[in-house]
Formats: sequence, structure tokens, C-alpha cells
Amino acid sequence: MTEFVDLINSIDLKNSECLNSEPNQEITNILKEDEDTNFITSDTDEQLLVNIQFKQKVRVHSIIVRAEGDGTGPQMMKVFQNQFSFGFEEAQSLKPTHKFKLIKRAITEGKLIRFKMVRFSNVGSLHLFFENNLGGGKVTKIKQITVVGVPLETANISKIQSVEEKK
Amino acid sequence: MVLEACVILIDNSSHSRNGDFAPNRFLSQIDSISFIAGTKIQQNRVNTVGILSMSGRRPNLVLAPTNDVGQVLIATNKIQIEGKMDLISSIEIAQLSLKHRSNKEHAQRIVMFVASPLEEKKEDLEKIGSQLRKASISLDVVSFGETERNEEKLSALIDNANSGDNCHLLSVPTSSGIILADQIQGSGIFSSSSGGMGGDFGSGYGGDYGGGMVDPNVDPELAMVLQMSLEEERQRQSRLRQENSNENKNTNNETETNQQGQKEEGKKGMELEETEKELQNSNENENNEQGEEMDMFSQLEGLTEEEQMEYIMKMSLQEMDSKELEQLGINEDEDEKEKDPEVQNALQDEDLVDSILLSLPGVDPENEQITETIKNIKEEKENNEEKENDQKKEK
Repeated sequence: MTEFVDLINSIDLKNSECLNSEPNQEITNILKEDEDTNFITSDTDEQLLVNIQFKQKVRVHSIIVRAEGDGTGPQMMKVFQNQFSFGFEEAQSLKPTHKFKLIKRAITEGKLIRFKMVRFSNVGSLHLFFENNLGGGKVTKIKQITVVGVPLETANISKIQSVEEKK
Repeated sequence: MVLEACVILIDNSSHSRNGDFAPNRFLSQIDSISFIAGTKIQQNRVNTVGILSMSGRRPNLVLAPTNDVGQVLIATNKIQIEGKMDLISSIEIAQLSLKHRSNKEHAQRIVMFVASPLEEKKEDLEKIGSQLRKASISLDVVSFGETERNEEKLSALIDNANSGDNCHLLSVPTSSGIILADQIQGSGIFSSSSGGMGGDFGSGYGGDYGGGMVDPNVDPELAMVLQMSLEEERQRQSRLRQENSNENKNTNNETETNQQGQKEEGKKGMELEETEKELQNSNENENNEQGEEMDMFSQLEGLTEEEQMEYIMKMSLQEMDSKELEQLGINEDEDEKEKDPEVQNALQDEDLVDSILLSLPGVDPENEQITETIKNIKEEKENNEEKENDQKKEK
């Protein structure tokens, strides 16, 4: 039985982004491990689109979404994978691989949201579309997103070192 | 330095035939577009600019985003004046074009010229503004010709698209003698983001090739490399000057020309330090010889034309003195011989030389040239021996 790990090291932060976040907020707020003091807050309306690029292909087992319980937490989450140039228009027109209706307990307590692994067995990029929030207000806030799974045995470019460095 | 992909929306509707902006609204837009594209690409060579014509049967992407200014100028010639402007569709097509930009790291920007009275509703404009904001596309609008009628709608559009002051509305009122491109240049919209390198397109290009120092804010890595090579050059120059002053005068030249040569080199050295443009060619892997050659040529560049001519004349009139020969990588025979004793010893051995020559294909040992060269080697060997004997006698 393979061990599932936090895929944080497989995430290509440089090519990941969050659309409709407030300016000056960075994707590392929610993807990097920190003390949850940094949020991503939605800007124009309550929708958020998180595009996560991986450095290598992975198998996604589950995901943890952490947010506040005050109604700003996301409710409907649509999951897409391996899309190119993914924006809000595509998010609203394409059929998602998975649809989840999040509940308050899941996001405040950081519970694992299980994916059907057979559908996510070869993921290069993961796209999370948070369509609305629990309170129905104009602002959605997310504290942390953790992706759990196992990386596939493909070449990990970041591990390539020059021979001299190894010596 | 902002890395940016920009699409410029041009209003080629019939309203642009109006001559209130000389020669007409359409041509002043073309003029402004070349200025804007030039500024953006000059700010950063990797920035891309595309052009979309808003009027006609449908909005048409005349030029896909490119970083070649020439293409921009060519493309503007292809646009015809026709029909009415369709703002919403144009923005959507521009948005699509930006979404599929080749380099995802580029920030997205739309620059829109509006010279016709808008028929779209204010709510629709607000909606498209929000859409742009969501997709993190910044919008600049240049409104001219119909400024009062469009003021309210365009302000609403900009307000909705604005997030953190990245969108601007420039309204140019109609009055005689106004040139649109000048107004745009003066407003500083298109140069503000980069820290003041824009605004003067012409000299900007000249400056690029002519070689002012690179702004450290603009490209810190390049600035650092240039500084390092500057330091190396200075050290090399000071070392050369020391060597020149220490060397004995040779038999070949008059002392005067020698001193003149030194002075010129000193002058060249100083000019080298003052003019830093040579260093744009600096290659970190230069070996010494190469460096000295380039040193020579870069020194030549540093002089004015007159001085260059003077220098060339002197060079052709006199035999080059050995210092300069060294710099060009040509060493006199004596030095060469002293450097490699093993080879010299081998050459002294006649039999060995003969056998080597025989083994070489295509060499006829009887050949005149070869026999002469061998003689020369022998003679010089004898000269060397004589010199050694003399020195011993002196001691």
C-alpha cells in the first residue's frame, strides 16, 4: 500500500496562480505551509479559481481546504484537471471531473475530502473553482489548501543537479 | 521592469475620418500606436504588443502579440476605416488573445482608443470591466474626439476594471494643434510602470545600441556583470601600464615614438575607463590573449575619429614596437624560443629534425625552403650560444 503524502513539494509555485484574488495576495498564502495568518480573499465577486501546477505527474488522493467558519468559507468546489489556460469562462462551461459541496465542519476542522483516485491518476495540473461561499456574501476567504497524494515516477526536473554540485 | 503582453485596440470606425485631430483621428491613432509599441518593447525586449481593429464586420486581430516593432508598423498599414465600433466583442477577443499568450509570466494589458460615441449600455461596460479585473487584465483607455459624451461610461468601465491603480483613463479634449501622440507621451501612462525609461522613444533606441549604463533597477544581473567586467578591465589596464613603464626600450624604435606610444596607451586607458560601452561586449570566459586583442580594438573605439586616424597613420608609418606586437598576440622569435626549452633542444638535433621531416607526408627534404629554415635555426642557435658565451665572459 503506497503512502500518501502532502504533495506540497511537487507543486510548481511559479506557474500556479489564483484568479480573482485581491491584488498583492500571492498563491503561496494558501499553498505553502504557514501559520494560517495569510489568506486569499476574493476580489470582484465571491468566486475564486485556484490553478495548481505540479512539477511532475501525481496521483491525487484527497484534498484539505481550510477556511473560517464565519460564512466566508467556500461551498461549491468544482475540480478540473490537466487544463490549459483555465479561466472563469471555462470553469463555468466545462464539466468538472469532480463536484463537491463543502460543509462547514470540513473546512473549519480541515477534514480530508476524498477524490476518486482512478479519475485523478495522472494529474499535471489541478484547477479548483470555488463558485460560491457558505454565507452567500460577496467575499470568499480561504486559509490553506493541501493536496494529498503520491507523485508518479516521472522525471522531477527540480531534482536534476549538475555533477559538480553532487560532489 | 514590467514583463507585459499588451493588445492595442484601434478605433477604425467612420467616426475616425474626422479631421479634428490632424491629419485625422485614425492616422493620429496609428502614430500613437507606433509610439506606444516602441516604448513598451524598448522597456523590455521580451514585452509583446498585438493590434486589434474594433470596427468593421467584426473585430479583427490584425497582429498577434509580438515583440517585433517592425511588424507593428507594417500591421498598422493594413487597417481600413469602416463601420462602427463594437467595444464589448473587441475586449473579449483581446482577452482571449491574451489568455493564449506564449509566456504566462507576462502581465496582461489592453490599451483601447475610443473616438466614436459609445452605444453600449453602462451596465454592460461595468460587467466587462469586472470581467477584466477578475482575469487580472489591466486596461488603459485613450478617449479623444467624443470625450464628453463618453466620459461617464468610460469612467464606469475603468472603475470596474481597476484594481490597485493599474487602469487609466486618458481623455484628450479637442483643441487646435494637438497631436495625440504627444499628449500620450506627456501623460506618462505608458512609461509610469517602468520607472521612467519611457517617454523618449527615439533616444531610447539610440541609447540601447550606443551604450549608456544599464539601469540597475531594470536588470540587476546585467548591471552586476557589467560592473564586474569593469573592475577586471581596470585591473588589467593598471597592470599593463605598470608593465609598460617597467620594460626596457628596444633596439627597433626611437625613444620618442616609444614614449608617445606609452602616452597614447595611457590616454586610451583613461578613455576606456570613462567610456563604458566596450563592456557590453565583455565575455566572462575571455582568455588573456583575446582580452588583450579586444582591449586594443576597444581602445580604438574609445578615441575620436581624428585620433583614430592619427593612430592608424602612426602604426602604418613605423614598425610596430614589440609591446604592441605582444598585445596582438604575436611574439618575437626570441621570446618564443625561451619559452619552450624542450622543443628548442629537439630542434637543435639535426638528425631528429631530418627524421621528423621525412615522416611528414608531402614534405620533400630537398626542398629549398626547408633547407633554408633549418639553416636559420642553426644560425640562431649559434647566435644564442655566442650570446651566452658573451654573457659568461662579462661575468
